[in-house]
Amino acid sequence: MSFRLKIISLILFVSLVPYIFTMLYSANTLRDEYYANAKDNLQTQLSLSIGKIDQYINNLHRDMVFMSHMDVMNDIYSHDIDRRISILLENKKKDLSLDGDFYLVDKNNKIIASSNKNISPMSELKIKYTPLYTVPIKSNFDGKEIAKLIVDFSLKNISHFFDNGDDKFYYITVNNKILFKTKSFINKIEVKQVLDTKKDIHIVLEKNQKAFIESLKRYEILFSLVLFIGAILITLIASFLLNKLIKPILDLSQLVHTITKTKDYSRAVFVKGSDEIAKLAKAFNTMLHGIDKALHENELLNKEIEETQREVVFTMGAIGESRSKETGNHVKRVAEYSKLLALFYGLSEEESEMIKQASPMHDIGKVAIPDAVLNKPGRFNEEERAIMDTHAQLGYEMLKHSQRPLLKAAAIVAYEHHEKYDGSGYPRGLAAEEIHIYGRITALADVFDALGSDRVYKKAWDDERIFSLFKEERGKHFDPLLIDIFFENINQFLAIRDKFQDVE
Amino acid sequence: MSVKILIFILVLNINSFASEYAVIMNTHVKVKNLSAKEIKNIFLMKKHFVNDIKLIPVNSAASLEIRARFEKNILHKNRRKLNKYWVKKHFQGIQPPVVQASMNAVKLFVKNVDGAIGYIPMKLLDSNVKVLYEF
Repeated sequence: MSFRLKIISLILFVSLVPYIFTMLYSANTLRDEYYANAKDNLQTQLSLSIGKIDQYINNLHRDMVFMSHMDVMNDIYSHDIDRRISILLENKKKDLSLDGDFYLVDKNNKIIASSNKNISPMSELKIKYTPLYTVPIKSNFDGKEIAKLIVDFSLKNISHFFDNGDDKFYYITVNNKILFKTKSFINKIEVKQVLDTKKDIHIVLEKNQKAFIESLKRYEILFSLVLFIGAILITLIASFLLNKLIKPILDLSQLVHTITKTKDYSRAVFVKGSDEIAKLAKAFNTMLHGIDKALHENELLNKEIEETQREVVFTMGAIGESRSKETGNHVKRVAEYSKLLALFYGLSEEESEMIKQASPMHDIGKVAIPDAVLNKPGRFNEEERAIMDTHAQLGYEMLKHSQRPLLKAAAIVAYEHHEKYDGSGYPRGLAAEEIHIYGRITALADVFDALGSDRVYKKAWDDERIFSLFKEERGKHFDPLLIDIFFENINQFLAIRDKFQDVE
Repeated sequence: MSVKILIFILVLNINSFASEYAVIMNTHVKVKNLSAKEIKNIFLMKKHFVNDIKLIPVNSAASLEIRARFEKNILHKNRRKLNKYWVKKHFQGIQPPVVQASMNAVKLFVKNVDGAIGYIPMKLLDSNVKVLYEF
């Protein structure tokens, strides 16, 4: 996870989470309020209806009590044979548009009078609906209860107060029984209330909430949209601000990355402002500048050292040359041939360059050879040859103490440039891969140039003769691989010989 | 004494020729007979007890002929005087007697209520009621 991502996540978390929580909370509150409001309205409607129903039932009760005190109740004693009580009850029923009937019964539940013409007097009381109220009737003379006035009440009377519509309806529940429920809505709100006058009768008002819930859904979609847009806005603002904030840091890190890759310490980072990051960038620039300067100085110093080394080596080579019979550009040509061979052999550019610089010192040992031997014209005798051959060993002794890679390479070259591939060379008689590649390369380069040059004691060989000798000595004096390389690239070697011709 | 009884029976007999109506109570009450004066006082709510029995006078409906005859022969008051009387009594908290609509209802009422006293035509008499007075 990148730094940028971390910071963005953090800011988004810190800003988005409270935002979303607040929005959801307020939405929920609004929704609840909306819902509670709808329910309140419904409750009010129901309460009004229930008020009417209660009043109706109260009136019924009051009427019954009133009737029970009327003088005509004396006719109970004459079993209402004049039907005066019955007529009273019938009229009352009509007045109230009552569904159900009034019954006046004696102590044995025998009907004395009723509002139902079809009931014969003195028959047994049969309740068809609900005996809603029973009012005792007391004697006018001795105060004893002589009969009861009962109303057999159909709940249909209550249903007349139900203001049912397309989107709402009422129903009744009595002892867990549901009455007058004609339909049911899928999405609904319902409110329930008990009658004041009859505590076992509940009225339920159910309202279709399809429209309500649809509008709620529309509201929720709108809300979600607002929430979504808000979240996107917050995200955009946060990322915009962050980009501004983080950009210097990213620039810094990018620069560090680039510098690690290219090692180019001359770069700098630019940050506006004066905050901590700007200070950091400034300090970083100063540091970079310091490193760059130090590196530059170091480089100069190295260059100086290398130059000095090269000069020393070359001068030493020149000293060696001055002590030998080889003249002119011999050393230079050997150096060039060696480098070419090394490159073709597959050594690196650096190593090839080192061979080039080291090879001029192959004859440095000759400074220790007495002039009498060294400058003797004509052929050496056995003794003189032995003295002469020590120059390889001597050169090695001179150079071996150095720890410098160049001088070490020069030591190898001086020591092994007279070894032969078949082991017949000197001073140690090494063979094949035992001879260091530097030695094998310099041997070939040295012989090639020596044969092609005039010497005090001989004329220069022509090319045909040199090539036939080389072919002959392949695997004997010379490394066969190097001979192959030599013949493959013969033109380049000849070009070097032409370039560095001895000027007589 | 026996002469008195004889005369009473004679009078009763004479009356019985002319009388069509009887004042009745049910057979459970131990009241033998009542004088016209007593009956008058009972129906004017002045006399309430006979032999410790609370009396409940029952009038028949005002439209019936028997009611008019009863008012004339027993109460000796015309309807106007009676109305005045009851208005006066009303203010003393005394209500007029219970009214039953028909003569059968009166008979049934008397039969069912101990202490009830009413009047019906002689031809409606049966074993459930006893006659206290005829007129």
